[in-house]
Amino acid sequence: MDIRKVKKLIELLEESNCVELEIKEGEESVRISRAGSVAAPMQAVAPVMQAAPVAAPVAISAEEPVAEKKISGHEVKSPMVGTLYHAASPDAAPFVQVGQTVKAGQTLCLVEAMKMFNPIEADTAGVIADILVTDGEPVEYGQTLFVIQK
Amino acid sequence: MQTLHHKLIEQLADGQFHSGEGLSQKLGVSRTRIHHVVQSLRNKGLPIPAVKGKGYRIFDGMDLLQVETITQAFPDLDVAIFDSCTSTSDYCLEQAKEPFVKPVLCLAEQQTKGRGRQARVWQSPFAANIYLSLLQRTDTPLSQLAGLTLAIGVCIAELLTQTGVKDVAIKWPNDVYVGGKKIAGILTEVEGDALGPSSLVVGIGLNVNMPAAASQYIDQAWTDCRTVCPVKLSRTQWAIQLTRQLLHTLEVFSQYGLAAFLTKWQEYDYLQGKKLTVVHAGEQLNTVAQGITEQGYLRIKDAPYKLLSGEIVLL
Repeated sequence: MDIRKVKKLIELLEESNCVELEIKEGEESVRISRAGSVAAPMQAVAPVMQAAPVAAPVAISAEEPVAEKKISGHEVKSPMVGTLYHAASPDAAPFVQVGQTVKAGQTLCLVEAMKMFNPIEADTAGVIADILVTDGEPVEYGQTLFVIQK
Repeated sequence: MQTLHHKLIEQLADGQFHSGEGLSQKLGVSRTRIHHVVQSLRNKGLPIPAVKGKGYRIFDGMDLLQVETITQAFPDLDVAIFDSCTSTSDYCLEQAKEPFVKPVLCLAEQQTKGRGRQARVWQSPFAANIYLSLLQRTDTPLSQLAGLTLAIGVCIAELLTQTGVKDVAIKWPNDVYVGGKKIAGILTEVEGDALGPSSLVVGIGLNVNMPAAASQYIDQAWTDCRTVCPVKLSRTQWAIQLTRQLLHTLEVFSQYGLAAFLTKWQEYDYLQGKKLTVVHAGEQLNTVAQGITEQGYLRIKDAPYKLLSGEIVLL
């Protein structure tokens, strides 16, 4: 489980009202909980456990500034774990490009897991401001794929 | 759906000679009209030679889908059977946009845009094989749904084995092979929210009686039911049995998930222990297949990840 994913989970927890979150994926598992949720704002990241041989408990500060520049707007997220494709076939033109105007319901990309294909559609109309995943790249559940500016 | 085209196909399905005159009388249209319809069927790829003094004939006849028999077998489904359509899954995906009433079963004698993974062409010649799609609503969250594709592989492998076919195997995730040659392909498409409900379209291509003319376009080793199955079933029978087994599989999966199919899948595992090349996230890796995880991901030797999708080439 990579660090970005753990970070995603922390963000997910922050946004929610949940106190604890546990994710299992094959032999790996991670549990994140808001310990004393009183004072320390979001230092509440409790031990992250990993089944991998190296991992001693790691604490991560959720306050770290995000390194890359972030384009704001409406985020389209992946509803499932899989591989992302920007076109219907390797030879075809991509569904959308940065700067393109899209309608709600328009297909933005495909996510595949084990030959199950899920077309990801724009859930709002607007202009594609950012594409965060390259063709053929693996994506996680809840990962931001596109930013649409209304 | 009883168009003149369909009526004419039904007449010619017996493999006998039919004169233009006789057809014109039987179907109540002019000979010129018959000639035009025959021409348009030829343009769709049907081999209908005309022999002077004898008439039109489809050599060997045709094993057409019996529309009524199939429709009556599934009163709980909305059944649509076409002479020709772009793809049975296209039809189901269109239907998915309508308010859901009941599951839709779509079959076709021919697909003009039959497709596989990454828009590859699935050869779909007229009245030769099974081209079947089922549209179903599901409450299973998307994250748990992907394993269904493996369960459907087991569904087809079991159906073939039960009909007496030997040496059936599944190439991860769900291509069905007999004697090392591909006999069936499955393409599953899903639309909806992460937490369900979503529309699920399962598309299945099962080679039943692949004609040589179409097979020359297939770029891999293939076989069909006619070649490997000891009992001869009509396409109608294959369609009915396949649909029954598929509905049962969907039912079991919705209750128990992939867990109910893992053992069977492993028995059919075609790649187990074999050397292969996988292409994952743009990188190529020579490795060895080591079965699957509980989620249905492919385990591969010495790799830091388990495979969710990707191109697999046997070495």
